Amino acid sequence: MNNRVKIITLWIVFLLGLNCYINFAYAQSTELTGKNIALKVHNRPDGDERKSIMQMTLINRRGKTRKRSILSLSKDYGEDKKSIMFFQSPANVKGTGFLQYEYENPSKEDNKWLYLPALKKVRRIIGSSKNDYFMGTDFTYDDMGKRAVDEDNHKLLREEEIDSLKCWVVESIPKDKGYMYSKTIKWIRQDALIPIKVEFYDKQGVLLKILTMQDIRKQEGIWTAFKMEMDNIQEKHKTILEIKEINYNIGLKDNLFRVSTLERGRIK
Amino acid sequence: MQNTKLAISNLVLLLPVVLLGIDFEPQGFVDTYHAVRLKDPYDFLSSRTRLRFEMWMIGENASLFASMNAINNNVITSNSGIELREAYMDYVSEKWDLRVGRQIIIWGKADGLAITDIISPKDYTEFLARDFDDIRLPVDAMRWRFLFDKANFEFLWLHVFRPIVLPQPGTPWAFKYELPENTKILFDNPIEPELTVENGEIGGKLSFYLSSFDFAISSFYTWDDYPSLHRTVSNIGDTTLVHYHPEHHRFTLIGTEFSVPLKNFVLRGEVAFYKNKYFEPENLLSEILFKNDVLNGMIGLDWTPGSDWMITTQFSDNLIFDYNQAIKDDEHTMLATLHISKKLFRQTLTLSTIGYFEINGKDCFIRSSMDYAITDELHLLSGFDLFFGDKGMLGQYGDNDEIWAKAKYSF
Repeated sequence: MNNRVKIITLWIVFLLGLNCYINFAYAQSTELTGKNIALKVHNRPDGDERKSIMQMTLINRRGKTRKRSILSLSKDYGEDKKSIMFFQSPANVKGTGFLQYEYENPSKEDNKWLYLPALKKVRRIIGSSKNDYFMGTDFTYDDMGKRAVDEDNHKLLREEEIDSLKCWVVESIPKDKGYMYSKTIKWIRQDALIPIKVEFYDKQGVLLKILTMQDIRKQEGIWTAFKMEMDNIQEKHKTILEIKEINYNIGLKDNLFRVSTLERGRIK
Repeated sequence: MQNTKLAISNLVLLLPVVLLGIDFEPQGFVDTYHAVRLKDPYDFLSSRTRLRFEMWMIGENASLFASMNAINNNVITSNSGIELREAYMDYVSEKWDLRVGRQIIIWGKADGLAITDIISPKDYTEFLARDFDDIRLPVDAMRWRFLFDKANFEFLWLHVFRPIVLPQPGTPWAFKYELPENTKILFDNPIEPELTVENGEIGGKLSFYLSSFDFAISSFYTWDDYPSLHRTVSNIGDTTLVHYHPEHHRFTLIGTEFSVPLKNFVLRGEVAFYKNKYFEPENLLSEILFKNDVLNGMIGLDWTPGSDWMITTQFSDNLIFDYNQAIKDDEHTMLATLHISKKLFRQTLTLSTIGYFEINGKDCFIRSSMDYAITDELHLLSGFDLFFGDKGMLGQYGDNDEIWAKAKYSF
């Protein structure tokens, strides 16, 4: 009898311990940390395929504007992504195209090809000039892509409301000390999982740029920011990126994302 | 009447656009380019204005592209006029595409060096004092490509031969000949292949676009764009007459090319084997030409350090097999190129220098330029071209150092 009580007692203790462990592990995985929020934003549903027309307006300190219009198509392949884009304007770069294969694995370099219509030639370009500004805008190539979560250390600073919208404020510090930003601070809208404001700090820790996302609404059930404004505080220059048209999951064929498509210089 | 006909023909052309929902995209540019010699008599070496009109009509699986030039050239007046530059149709299906018509076809990874890039002939009317895209000439061809996920196979058929365009005598860029005393030369028009099916040029290229590198192998059964300078030598009194009978000959190219991205660099290379190329004798008075095989190779490195800098360097070597000392060309002809460019002020100003260095002849050509975008549409460009050395392909233009200005409006 005593033995039976001992076995039952041990079994109860074991079950209680297991329950505590499961609860602890679950709490660990769902605890609201900077990294968990960054992962939520990174994994936010954004469709498996996208086709959009973007307009970028560059405004200098004297108020002079320049405009670029881009047709962009992209498709997810698991964690990886293929995209192709063609400039529709201005006239001097019309037909210029980029093809890009982006890999989630940070140790695998992205593959990129550039088509220049004047030379009628595709050339392989490198995948690591992410810190360069895209076509004279205030967005770097890295700003326009999806940065891997593990490239930064993330810290939840606080919760805050902007325009009555609940936000998490997350600070991200790059692990690579040579990166062009020393840190970024993001105000992430909790319902849409989209940063509605991002501050970029330069290598000296001085505020360099502020990105604000506007006109955030659901398109085909997917939260989409239709207007982004990147304000370079130091250079008094800004770029407004507007999405004029976007469609998700429209059955883009795999053969669109090939060098042969890029070489044609056009897609309909 | 003429206007009515034009309007009706325009309407007929535009009907499919309206009825079938085809996108119609006119575009083009106007540019004006003027260059002045940097020494006495300070004459214009180039002075030309051009309207380029381009048009796309894009349907679901088919498209059409046409481009025309209207040129006024004040220095080489024979270049003035209206020309159809390109006009081709594309059909695209899931597994293959077809392009037929007058088109520019580019092979290879080299910039400004023709190793496997011999499909579209070159126009050296103004030698290298033109943009790369103006130097290539379109060809009448059919390009049929079979498309795979990471590879293409393309088949080419050129049914009309188009030769290289060399600088004409009497123009600032004419080749200079050093003739022995009491020697005269006379050129016949080059003998070109007749327009027959048998005289067509055919080629094939298998290209791979892989995660770590691009790679291709190619072959082209072609006519040499350069005419071989066959000659007869005769004596008339005290004068020796060298009478050239230029003729184009067949040869075969087998080539390979690659491009490998490596961190901030892209390593590029190309090798071509030419079977049965003709070579001139060193002795002007010799009537015997040589027929040899050639290996032509190039290795290049593109460096993109960031901040809108771009540095490109290339080295090429042209090796003649079974070399005979009586051949005019050297056994090895080595050439190096260097291109440095930097974009400033939000990419509105581009500074660029490109240099060609002939290692054999110790001569070189340097072109420096500045391109400022007043607006996205209107660019002002200016620069200078300098030639160093006494002889050789580049050094022969030692008197043609020039300063130039250009304006270009794109629409």
